[in-house]
Amino acid sequence: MKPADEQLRAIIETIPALVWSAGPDGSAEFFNRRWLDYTGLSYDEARDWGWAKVIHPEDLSRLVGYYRSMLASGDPSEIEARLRRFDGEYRWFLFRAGPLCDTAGKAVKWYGTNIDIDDRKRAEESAQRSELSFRRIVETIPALVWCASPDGELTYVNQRILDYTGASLGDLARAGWVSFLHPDDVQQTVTMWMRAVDSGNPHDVQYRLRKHDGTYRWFHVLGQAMVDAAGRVSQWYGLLIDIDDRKHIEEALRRTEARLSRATQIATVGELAASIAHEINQPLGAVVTNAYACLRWLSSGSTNLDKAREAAERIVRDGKETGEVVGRIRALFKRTPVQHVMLDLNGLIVEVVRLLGAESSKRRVAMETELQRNLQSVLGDRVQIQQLVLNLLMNGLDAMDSVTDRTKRIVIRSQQNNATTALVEIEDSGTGLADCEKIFEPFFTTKEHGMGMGLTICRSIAEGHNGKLWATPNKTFGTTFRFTLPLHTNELTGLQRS
Amino acid sequence: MNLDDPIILVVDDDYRMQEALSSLVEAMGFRVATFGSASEFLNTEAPDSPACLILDLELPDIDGLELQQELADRGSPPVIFVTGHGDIPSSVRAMKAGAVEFLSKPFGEQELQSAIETAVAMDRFARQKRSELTELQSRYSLLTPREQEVLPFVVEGFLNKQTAADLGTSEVTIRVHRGQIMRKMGAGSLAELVRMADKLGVTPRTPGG
Repeated sequence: MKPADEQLRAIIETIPALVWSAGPDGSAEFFNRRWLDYTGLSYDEARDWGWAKVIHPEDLSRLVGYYRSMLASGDPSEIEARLRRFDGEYRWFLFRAGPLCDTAGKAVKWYGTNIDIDDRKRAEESAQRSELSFRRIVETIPALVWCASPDGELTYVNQRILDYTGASLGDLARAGWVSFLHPDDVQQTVTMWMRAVDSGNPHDVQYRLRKHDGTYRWFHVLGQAMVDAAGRVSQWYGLLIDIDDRKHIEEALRRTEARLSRATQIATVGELAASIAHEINQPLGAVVTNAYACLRWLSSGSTNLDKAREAAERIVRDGKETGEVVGRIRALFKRTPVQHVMLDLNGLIVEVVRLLGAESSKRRVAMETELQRNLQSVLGDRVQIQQLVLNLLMNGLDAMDSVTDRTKRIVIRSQQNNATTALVEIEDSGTGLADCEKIFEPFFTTKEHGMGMGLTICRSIAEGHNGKLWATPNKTFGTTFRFTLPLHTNELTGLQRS
Repeated sequence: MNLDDPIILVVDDDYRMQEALSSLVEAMGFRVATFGSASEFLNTEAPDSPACLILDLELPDIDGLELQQELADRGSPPVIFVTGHGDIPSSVRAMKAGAVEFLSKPFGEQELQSAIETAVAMDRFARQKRSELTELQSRYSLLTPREQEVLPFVVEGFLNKQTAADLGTSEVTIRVHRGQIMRKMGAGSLAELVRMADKLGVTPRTPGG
């Protein structure tokens, strides 16, 4: 047995661990060399409960409590605590102990090891600190942050989201967040999110989210998928940015612009009052004259029923036409909600040209149209597009007011531009422009009484139709304005299609 | 229809107005001719009847006021303007240039009829004056150069003796010339001859000139 004892002792003294043993009451009876060398204590100093003085004061009560519960239960267990080195430095150790039991199952001795886990512990702590710091960032930055699993399930929201919604993660998870959306935004938002989850493409949407007080605010929502080495989405990270104030400003801006547009529309009506009166007076004059003629042909002395009937028929015809003229002009200046419908662009141009007929002949300007036959319909708001064409034509007329040495001429052309857009050109032989871009700026005007909003509004109308409006100088005289509009396709666009 | 029946010339680019005016004017008992543009009208020979022109102020090829100016230079019939605009500055210019009336559409038939009647009466008078003058001019052309030379002396009231002295001829010769002048011009008296010479624009001679 001696050599075996020797061998065991060699093992105990050599293994890279601190080894000890204790009696059933927990008082220490044995420490290996490494233990004594590490702590710098002598065996006598450490025996019984002497070892407790090298345990970190903060860990002591916890360790003792643990030790007692282990002794009481008799089950092997482990705990982490700091142990003082001979030089006074504390290092983290993993304390492990197990009982040696007699045949009755009673613990007669305890054997334990302390393994130095300080390096691992520090790494863990630093990782925890760093996680804590990231968490602090996520919780502190003035944005609402969320994470979702690859299948789109919400896995985390930051405190700001909880504060804002007044809900818990449980309320928001499993699509619970959808019930916090503004009802009008639900369909689009959900569709977009499903699409992002399916494709892994960035998620970018704006919606109104209900606050805990029941009010809604606009958010710009961005989501980005984290992709693993195999190209699979491993997690979604997302951000909600409060854009409510910006939205309201935009809205106010749009309303102001709409009012301005309306104001210039009314100003245009004013400018065109003479033309409009003429447009109505022409058939009305014929009606009245025919009525007089009719009465004359019916009166005794010169009775001629055939002639009277002819005159009456002309009254009906011209009267109807007067009504149509009034209807056309009213449609032109009617205040209606913007409505993008299928429009016959050529027909619309012809109507505006006809309205301006008297005005252009008064100003001795020849107005010519070169319209592409069978031009496909465009998608747009009738009143706005009429306004656009009307403003550009009026501009052209104004640009030629001072021209005396050449023919005053406006040519309006229409054509299909490409597969998806139609192009309209309005070419004048006027005085030309110094700067073909500046004219679109608000309050820039070359006219004495101009407000400088006409072309600004024209451009916003074109852009509101996903079109463009621009001007280029002609080779000889004058300017050509061009605008594009989307062709009307039978296909439904965007969301409705999916 | 008689050549002396007035004819109303309507120039309007709007076919509706042409038809209506033509029917009304016809119902008023006038002859009527319509034209769709200024050039169409100018390319047609003027009728040899009392006439008046109903002119739209906004013609596509020429300004109604410019046309009026051109017509005035040719001695064409009086003009009644109609307009769908009725703006004051053009009406003032038109009246100054001698338009009979300026009517804004829609106008009343009484206004139109009285304007037409006035215009036609003016044209009758003008035509009569023109034909009188033409007659006088043809009579005047019958005078020999010597007789045309003597006429200014006669209408200025020179004695035959003074005229003979001025022209270096005998008093008898002048008396023969004078008789021929009275006969060829169809003048019943010296006073009548003086009025004729005035219309013809014959400049009287000053004594001793």
